[in-house]
Amino acid sequence: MAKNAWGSKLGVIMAVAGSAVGLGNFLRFPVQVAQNGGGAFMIPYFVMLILMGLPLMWIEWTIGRFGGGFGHSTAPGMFHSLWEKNRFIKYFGVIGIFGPTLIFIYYIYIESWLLAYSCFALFGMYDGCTTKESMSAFLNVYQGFGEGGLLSRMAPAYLFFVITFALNMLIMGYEIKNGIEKVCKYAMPVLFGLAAILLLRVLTLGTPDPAAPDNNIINGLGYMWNPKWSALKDARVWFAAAGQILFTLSCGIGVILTYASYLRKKDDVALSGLTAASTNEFAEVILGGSIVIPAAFAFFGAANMETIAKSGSFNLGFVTMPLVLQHVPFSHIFGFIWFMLLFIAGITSSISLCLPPIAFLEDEFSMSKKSATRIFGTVTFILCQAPIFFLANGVVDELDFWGSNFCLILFAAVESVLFAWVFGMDKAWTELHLGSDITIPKFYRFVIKWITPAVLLFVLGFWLIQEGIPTILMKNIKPEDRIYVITVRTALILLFSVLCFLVWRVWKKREKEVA
Amino acid sequence: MQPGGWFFLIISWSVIMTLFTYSMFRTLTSTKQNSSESSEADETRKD
Repeated sequence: MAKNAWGSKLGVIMAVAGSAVGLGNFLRFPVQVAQNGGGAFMIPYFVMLILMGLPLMWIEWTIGRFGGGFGHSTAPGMFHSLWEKNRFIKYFGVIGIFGPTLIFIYYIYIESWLLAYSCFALFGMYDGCTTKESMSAFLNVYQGFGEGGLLSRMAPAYLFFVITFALNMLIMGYEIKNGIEKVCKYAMPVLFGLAAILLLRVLTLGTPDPAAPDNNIINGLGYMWNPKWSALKDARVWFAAAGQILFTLSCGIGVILTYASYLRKKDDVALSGLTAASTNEFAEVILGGSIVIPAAFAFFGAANMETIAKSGSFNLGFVTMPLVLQHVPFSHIFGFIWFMLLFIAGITSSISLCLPPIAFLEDEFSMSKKSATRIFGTVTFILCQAPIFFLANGVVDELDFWGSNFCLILFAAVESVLFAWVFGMDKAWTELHLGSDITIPKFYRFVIKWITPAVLLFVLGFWLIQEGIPTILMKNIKPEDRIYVITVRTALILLFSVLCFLVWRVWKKREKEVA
Repeated sequence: MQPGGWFFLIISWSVIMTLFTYSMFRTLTSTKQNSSESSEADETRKD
């Protein structure tokens, strides 16, 4: 049996779903719906799921299994397998290792806040914070912006970061079957269970304040779902829907490629891709879409919702929801459930981010899993210090921009073109259906060849004009923070160059061996 | 909550539930359950 192999079909699906279900499902999605036309947003959302999300899922699963057949678990080798004549395509595949590493560097720190907050909730440590301002101040103190020396200010946050980091590395030290697969197989049902408990609690809140009868759960659902038809004429709403689908499915970061590379030649990818996507959609639309916004509306009313929705995902998760849950009986338990739910969503995603770089070291340098994990752990632990100690200077935003936006959209656009046009649609379609448990409608042949690449290139172009170029030119960055941003960019260029050098070395060595 | 809101809520939930139930059912009832149970010949696909 191969060194890295999945134990069961459900295991790989749960792992991919675990990678996809993250904080965005519970925090980003409801805000996107409320701000982009309410129920009407679901029209572009479903259109983008059908034309971009599902095809991209199938593309990544198929490329992954195909590349795995050649002994490659990461994008450089896979892209080379798809387009052997091109000497440079493997360097493009480096993004599939670079991107997840960047995201991991800051994501793990935010994940550690969730672990910390689940403890704080359980022991009632933020009970005294009854206003938005005091809850924000509590978060600021935790992040190290309070009074006192740097070490004493940062001690609790750093301790939880070390615990979270160690937990991730511990899971990664095991082979796939006993590590990621086992964790996701248990964690995903627990996550769904916790979300269901919270959902039931929210839906039975009724009218929390009888003096304000309009502030109730039904109107809260209405705030989110009442359609605003005019939004459909706005290109930005369609762009927001495309962005949400792209971010939520975990496509474009190289993780699915690596997961699928551990499948056998005749293992199904068509049904598995569909199941992983639908599991993520279940968590997003049904669970994520019914918790935060309706609950916040019932307690704070329509007048405050605009400010709450615009305050962003972080505030919604760390400020608004703790305040809301303090008003319900057994608030400590429900606060704990909320943060533990997010922590589980976070850890199943962060372990998936570790995999492509570790798999690259394992495959291309013949390292053991433990050695590869040790190297990855040491390098990322050092890099993690930047978002921890320079959070206020825009380091996290900068890493998020390159990792979760730039690399993701670019990588997704190029892999869809590579799959449909370079590899060729005939071969691609045959490969996709090899060992398949379902037959994908023929209409998708056309979609994968024409529509998906076109939509992704449109999203890339629109995003570059709207957000990409202004951010690259540092137009929205405070002058005093520019030095930090430039330092981060220099470090990122260095990291990318090192990865390219490693790929170059591996291929050079292989060429020599063949000669 | 307006009727339009209910419409989108119910339609969205139904679409997702149907998709999720169908794909999970097919996955769990598939005869090819275990990846490691696949033919060992599959491993010989390298190059």
